[in-house]
Amino acid sequence: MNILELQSKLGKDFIFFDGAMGTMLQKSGLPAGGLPEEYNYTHPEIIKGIHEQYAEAGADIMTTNTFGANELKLAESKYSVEEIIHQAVALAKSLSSEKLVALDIGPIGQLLEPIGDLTFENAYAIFKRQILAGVSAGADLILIETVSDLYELKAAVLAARENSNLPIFATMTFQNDGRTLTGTDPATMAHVIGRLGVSALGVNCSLGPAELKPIVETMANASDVPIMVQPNAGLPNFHDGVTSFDVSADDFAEEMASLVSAGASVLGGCCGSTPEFIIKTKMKLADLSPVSIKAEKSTVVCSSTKTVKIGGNPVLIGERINPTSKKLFKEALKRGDLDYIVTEAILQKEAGASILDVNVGIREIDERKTMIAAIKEIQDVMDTPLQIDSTKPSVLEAGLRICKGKPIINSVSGEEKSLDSILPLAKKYGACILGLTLDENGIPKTADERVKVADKIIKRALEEGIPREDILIDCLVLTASAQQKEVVETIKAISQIKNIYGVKTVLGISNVSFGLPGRNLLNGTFLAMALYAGLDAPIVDPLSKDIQNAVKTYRVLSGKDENASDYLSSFADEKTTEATSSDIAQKTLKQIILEGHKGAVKEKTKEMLETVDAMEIVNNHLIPALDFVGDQYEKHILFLPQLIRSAETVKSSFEILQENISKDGKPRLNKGSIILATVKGDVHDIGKNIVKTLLQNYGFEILDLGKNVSPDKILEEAMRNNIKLVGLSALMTTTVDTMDETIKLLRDRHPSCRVFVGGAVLSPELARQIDADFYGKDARAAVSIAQNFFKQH
Amino acid sequence: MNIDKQEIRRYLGYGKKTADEKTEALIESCITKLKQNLRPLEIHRTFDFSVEMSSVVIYADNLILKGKSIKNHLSESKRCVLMAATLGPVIDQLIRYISRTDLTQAIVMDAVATTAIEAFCDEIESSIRQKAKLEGFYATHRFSPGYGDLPLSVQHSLLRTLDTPRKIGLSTTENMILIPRKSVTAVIGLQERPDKIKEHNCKDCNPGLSCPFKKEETQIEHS
Repeated sequence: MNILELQSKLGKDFIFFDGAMGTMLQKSGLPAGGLPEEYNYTHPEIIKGIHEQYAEAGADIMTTNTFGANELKLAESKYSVEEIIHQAVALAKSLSSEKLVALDIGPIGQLLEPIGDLTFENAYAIFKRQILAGVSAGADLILIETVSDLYELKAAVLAARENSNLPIFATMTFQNDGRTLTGTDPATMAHVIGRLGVSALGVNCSLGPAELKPIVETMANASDVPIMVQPNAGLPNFHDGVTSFDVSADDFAEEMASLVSAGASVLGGCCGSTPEFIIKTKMKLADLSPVSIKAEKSTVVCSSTKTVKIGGNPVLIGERINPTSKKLFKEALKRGDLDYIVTEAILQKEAGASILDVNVGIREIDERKTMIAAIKEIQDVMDTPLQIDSTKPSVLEAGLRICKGKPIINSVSGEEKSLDSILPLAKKYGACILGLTLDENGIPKTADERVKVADKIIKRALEEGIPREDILIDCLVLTASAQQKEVVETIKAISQIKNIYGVKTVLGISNVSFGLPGRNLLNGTFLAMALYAGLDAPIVDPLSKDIQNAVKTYRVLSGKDENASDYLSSFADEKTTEATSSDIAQKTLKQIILEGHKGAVKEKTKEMLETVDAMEIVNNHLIPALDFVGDQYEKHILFLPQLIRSAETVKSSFEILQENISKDGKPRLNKGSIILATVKGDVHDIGKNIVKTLLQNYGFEILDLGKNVSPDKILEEAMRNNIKLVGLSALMTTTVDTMDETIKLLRDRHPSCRVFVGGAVLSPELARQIDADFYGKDARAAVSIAQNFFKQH
Repeated sequence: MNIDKQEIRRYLGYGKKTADEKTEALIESCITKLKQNLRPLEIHRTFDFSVEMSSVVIYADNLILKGKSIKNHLSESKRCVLMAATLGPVIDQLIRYISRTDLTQAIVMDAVATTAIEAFCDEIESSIRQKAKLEGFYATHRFSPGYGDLPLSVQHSLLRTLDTPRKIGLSTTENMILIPRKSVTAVIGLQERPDKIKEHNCKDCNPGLSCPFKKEETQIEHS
């Protein structure tokens, strides 16, 4: 078989990979332990022999012995990645020109962010090196297999696409609960990877063929890309140092036939399989041919562990992560403070947003860098799919790369320039594309004209190779205050576009009410109108009661909320929340802080602001209450959760005060700016977050650089923001060294800066040894350090 | 899985006291939330080993466990079990998520998760103990890298020996931090005589560390 034959046979004829390499190495009597990739050099005849056996068994494709040939796993080897891969490909190619050679790439072995500390960019670079070596060694195709993390697989597939022209085969490994170890389900995998230009996708390892059937069925329903399976020979038994498997070659072949009927057409074996398994499977399938797979054509967006389907019930896209006319958000972006974004993300998710729009476009910042940071930060805490929103193609592309799933691009328009630059991005990264019905002449007045623009966008997207179900149209709405007559044109356009093209529709709702009072009320009613016209995914503020009510009532009246059950239960919830809060309002601010009422403190603060100055509230109420709680904590009368609860209550009060101060046009309240960071290599940040909250309580402005922060980054931010006090935390003995390194760098390059350190492994002695200026045994100590420091500076 | 509230309170600094009403309620709700998200996985295997001058050599993958403490721990054992267990990445994400909106709850959830991974290890240890008994062995307590003078740097080889990245999704960072965070690796000895089992003793732990969670010693049940 040559590569052209392979491509023409894909999905139409069976294609046979080989079976396990590891199992065969064990059978050859090679001792366990060491790096199996080194056998390419130390035992080339054995490796070649295994390839020969699989070739004789009838496999079309030989998989190289390079599963772990990445720079991290080979770090202790005397052979380089390039040497191992060249030798391995040469051994596989030495058989016969009839067989194709697949460069085998397994997982890196370290976990990517946010689960672990390996960055997406580094993972990409590691895979790139393997792929370049494979290409120059003459591999015919690339097999990326046994991956658990969809993000890692995406890095590998992108590395393969951008550094070779070879066909890519990609499989993940699933546990018996139907998800990978990092939580990806088969449908999400198929939706995301199926759009990235792979020749086949599928499942291998972990389970036997019988257990894989539901996984294959799900994948075949989600993607039209040919499906690959390489099951284990059943489940492993470990006894006296030897692993064995419980499915025979005959049973394996029988089950493979069943997987074929579920949609698989690229076949092979994983752990425990041998040439006999391939022979038997080929015999069993001799008279069969692949079933043609017909995936459901639905519009979906995904994170790495969740798929959201658009169509049917309204899907809310949260609009709040957008700095337009939001002063506090803009200030936060300029400070590099991403907490604002994460808080908005969480609030919207909890209010019912299924997708989050992310826009960080303000002039004063590097939008590209900020987009990357914002997406990483959101992905760090939640698995809500994203809509990446920018007017700049370079920002969109940066976001598309590091996004973990299948996002929506917001947006493309009918302008030539936009179509030319944005559509290829949607195609390359397999994203959904949101088309705005405007062009060089602006937003057309009538529905018919908007439909024309939509027609152009849809045609061009289809020509680009973007599937129809990945195209979404936003018919745009003009303001009722200025162009009242045109509001209804939007509604008409939605229903026409749905009828003519069958694509899903999106609509930014809020613009309709611009310039009128009671905006939310208008937005809610307009939303109900648009939903009735067929709007699938409104872009809204999900925190707005009017929006929530419009969706809630629309679902009842349109019959989507069967028996009004969600509607009814939402009323039950309301009753229980109402009952609690009345008598708390009577308490003093101090009592509220001591008891930790985070909601009530906001009302109380607002009430006090009517008669008392903000600064006075801080100095005469908040700080004394905090001191009292701190004192009780030190005396072991109160404990950590109570201390933090009070601190968070103060924080809520502070937010109201800052808003009030900024409304008056005064500068933010700031008793001193401090950088906090958990040093590189360390990922424990709860302690640092406690310190941060307490310092904020006492009026210090914290620039929180997060965890796993490099010395360079800390130096850069300290210099850029002219910071004089830096707090570093480390929890592991192994990361005190990076703390030491960071302090040395700061001493050298930013000598006026002082450093305090803390964390479980630190002691006053150790702090002295690494030349820290101050040691804080806990968050209270950090407050004293900061207070004393800023008294003198 | 039996998650002991007394342990949670101990991690939160309450010692043997009951926490305040709000925190008690929070502990309760965190336990429920944790159990909904829990996907615990473990792997353990039995190996032969030999005792050398200053280390224990496990007969697999040339795994060498250095130091007096592990030598002492396995001094009466004939074989040993290597184990690795994790609560999975979802729990890490849950804690990160909560810590962005409610630090108090995050602290409690962290303590609940720490208690849960230890409880999970107790279950594994106890099943190993029962199985060993049938084969005429008595199992020691579990002993983890970082205890005594057994260096953390052994994590990497230990995980490789058990193939944990593939089997249970457990790996380490370059700085030997286990990922997912709520995970444990340990060595359990199998010895022929029950009377010589070393007690787990906080005094044996790394003296450089000021651990606020020092425990009173516990007895092994051999019933």
